[in-house]
Amino acid sequence: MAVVPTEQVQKICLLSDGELYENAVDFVKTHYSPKKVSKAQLNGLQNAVGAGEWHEIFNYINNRLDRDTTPEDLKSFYGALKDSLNSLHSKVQEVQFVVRPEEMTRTQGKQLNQEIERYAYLLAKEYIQHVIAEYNYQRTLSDAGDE
Amino acid sequence: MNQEMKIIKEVAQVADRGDFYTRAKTLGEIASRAFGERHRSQMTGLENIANSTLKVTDVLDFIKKQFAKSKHNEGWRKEDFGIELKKYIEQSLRKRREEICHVLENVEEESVDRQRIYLRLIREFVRQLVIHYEYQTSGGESDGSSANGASPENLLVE
Repeated sequence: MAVVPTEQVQKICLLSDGELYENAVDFVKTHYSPKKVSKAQLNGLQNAVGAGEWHEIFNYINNRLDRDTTPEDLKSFYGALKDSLNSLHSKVQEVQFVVRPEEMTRTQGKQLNQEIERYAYLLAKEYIQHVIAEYNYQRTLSDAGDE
Repeated sequence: MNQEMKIIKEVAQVADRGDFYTRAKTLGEIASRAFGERHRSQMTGLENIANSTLKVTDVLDFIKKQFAKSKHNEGWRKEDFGIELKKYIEQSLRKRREEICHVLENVEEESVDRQRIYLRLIREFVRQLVIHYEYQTSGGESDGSSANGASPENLLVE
């Protein structure tokens, strides 16, 4: 993966510490279902993030959503996660990681979309890491309550 | 004095006030009971992440992750060590960051300076916590250095 410019790294760090973290904590509060969203599920998600590509994360989520055997609670978790990630994709242009010119060639358009996916991936990685950390933290807290 | 030096000065002053020292001491002592000599790497890991990251949430995620990995009443779950450390960072240190931003006046909301102040407070708190852990673990004999070789001078180094 190409080196991300310093200014963009700062933007990612600020977003990660602010909006992404708060949203991830809220997401877990809303979609907390520890019996359905197991540690193994979250490890699988973590591995998909580790692949380093935006589309790998999406393929993983879509795969879970398309399976007939996926329980409803789990589908609801992945469906909501997909929505959150889609809004991160929109955010890439909103916070000007990438500026879309009014006119561009087909090749430029393709390059621009690749840039957008690269930043969307970096934001998704931060967001999912926060979600996984919070989910496992809440799971341990609720397990402690049962012990 | 440039902004960075002002931040360093304010963080140093805040670290000398209120419950900063006593909380670091209490948590360092719990860490000593929780990890002892054998699991020193937990403290080294905490110090490494605090000193190297550009994000506060990397420290919080690390604490949550280690807490979730720990067994009942052991490690990060012993005497609620992980919960209390997370709470102190999220509540007290955040409040202290606001105090510093108020003194410095020109620190904007959601700015890099604001994030840097918070990170410096966390690094200083973790540094003190680890020193207390070392002191307690070694049975009261301490040379003042931490698990990671951090020293008070490190506060001045980015």
